[in-house]
Amino acid sequence: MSAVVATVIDRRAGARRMHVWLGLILAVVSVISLTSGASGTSLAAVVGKLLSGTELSQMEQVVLWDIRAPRLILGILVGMALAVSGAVMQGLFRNPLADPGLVGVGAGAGLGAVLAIVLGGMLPVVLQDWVGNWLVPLAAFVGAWSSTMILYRVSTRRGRTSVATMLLAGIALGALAAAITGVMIYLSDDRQLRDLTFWGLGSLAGATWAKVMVAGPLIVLALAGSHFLSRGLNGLALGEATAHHLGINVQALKNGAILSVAAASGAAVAVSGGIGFVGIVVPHLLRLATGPDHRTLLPNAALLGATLLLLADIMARTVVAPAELPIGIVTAVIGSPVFLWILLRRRGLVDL
Amino acid sequence: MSIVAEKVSVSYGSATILDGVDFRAKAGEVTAIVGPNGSGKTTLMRAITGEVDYTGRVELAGLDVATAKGWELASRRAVLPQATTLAFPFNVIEVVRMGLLSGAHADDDNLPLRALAAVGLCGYAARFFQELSGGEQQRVQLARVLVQVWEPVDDRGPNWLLLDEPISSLDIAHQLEVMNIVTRYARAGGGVVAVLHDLNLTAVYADRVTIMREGRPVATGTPKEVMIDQVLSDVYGCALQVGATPDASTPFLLPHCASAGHGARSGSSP
Repeated sequence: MSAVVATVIDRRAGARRMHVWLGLILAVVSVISLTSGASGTSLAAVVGKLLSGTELSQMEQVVLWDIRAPRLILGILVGMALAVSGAVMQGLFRNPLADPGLVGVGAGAGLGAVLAIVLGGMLPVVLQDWVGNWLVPLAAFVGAWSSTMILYRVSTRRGRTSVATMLLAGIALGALAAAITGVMIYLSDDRQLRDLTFWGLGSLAGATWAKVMVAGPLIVLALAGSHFLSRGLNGLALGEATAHHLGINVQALKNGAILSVAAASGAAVAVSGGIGFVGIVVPHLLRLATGPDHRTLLPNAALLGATLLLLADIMARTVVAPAELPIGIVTAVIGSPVFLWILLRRRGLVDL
Repeated sequence: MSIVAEKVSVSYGSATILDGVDFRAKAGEVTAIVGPNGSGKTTLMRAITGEVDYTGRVELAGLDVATAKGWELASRRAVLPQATTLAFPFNVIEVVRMGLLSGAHADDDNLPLRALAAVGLCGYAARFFQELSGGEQQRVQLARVLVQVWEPVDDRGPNWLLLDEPISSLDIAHQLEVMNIVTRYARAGGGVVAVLHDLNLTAVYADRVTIMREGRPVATGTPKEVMIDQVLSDVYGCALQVGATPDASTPFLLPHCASAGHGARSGSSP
């Protein structure tokens, strides 16, 4: 009998099957992303040419290899980073409404990036040469890390996170970051202003291989690290005390979660600006579908996050082609109703 | 192998919650900690589990609680909290499986189902934890705790169940059922320490009782030794008579006379 029960109630098998399905969907969406765009270059034509041994035209090479491919890779990286850091942060705060973009972590990362863009030139030349392209993502990481730390300290007392405090502290942090960002914009020269504006739109449009090389390692590292947090995050769902009783090193877990959230969301913000709601929508849908076990939730969130961000990017590119919408607008239009829906369904959470 | 606490003091800010407490519990026995609200029962439990910072020394199964690694402690003792709020929609079996996180039986998929059967929640595996009643949630947590230290005694010696008010939210049938489970655990050689509020159940099930008052133990011994009029009246601050029966017009009932397990949906024993 118990064997029957075990198969009926086991959501783990479903969650593992979901890895395969989401992987396939991501592959399909990736191909679509490579083939769609403002120029007439189609992947089918290029593949045909490659198969028949014909040389690609200069145009096709540039569009596919220098524009669409880095954009695709960056989209996948950013989508994974946003969704996984959302899931990890929700696990850390024990709350499905925590999202780096909403509670001020994105704003902190943004502030770090803006400071780096505007004040980076004041750093000693040796240091500038040493960090090179990494300056902006590193600064974003530091910004994200410090705002996550502040947020956690402010909203968590004796292992319990007050949701109201968390959201309000997030607003305050966001406002402070926005104010300092404003000062930086005021200080910046024309070229920096241009950088800031493009960066702040929240878009994958400026994707280059250089950006991929800069953000990629940080994001991959954070995602790989988050894998080791999943068992601990499961235990943490029962509360800090119980997690401790279960043998989890709670302090190390919290530090690891904060670091991985900061690295992933900091790197994502540094290369793509503020893209909100992916970190809320993706883990929430997956919890409904296959349960909240972080061991399967985190990989699934990475796959679905990448897929959703690519889809949003395709929409952003095609809706007003040949111009494009900032992708942050697309994700917010899709994501904010979902956020409100969670809020209404689980109102009790906020009254804690 | 036992639990030994020596001169344990705990303060929150300027308030002293525990003041130089000495406490002992032996494996093979049910040791109850009783006392009025705010007497430091739960805080003593938290010192034993390593949840609060304390001065003094607490030793559990040969491990110094203050310096032992979390996983070392977790493999020797499991802790049932007063109440648990769960952050995400885990179902019952997933909660029980969390007991396997650091246990010796990490891959035994049958164990959680056997534990659920033991607490009388056989058909509940696929239910959502958050949709259960308080009493059912508490029994699910007990199943999780049992899974963590399933063998009362293993090759390293006895294991421990530390229970903070395990039965306060349960009806009488389930109170008896839970107390029977933990008593069997102790009879099989394991150690059980429970913070209890119900003095009748304490008298029935505990082998040793420590009575706390204002952060200090005031009496320790068998229920018969410590549960006497003067001690209880003094500790609880009201006139209490042990063994007195009310006049015939008021009904009363005592767990002593209940036939154990009858009526409760009992399963196989751990």
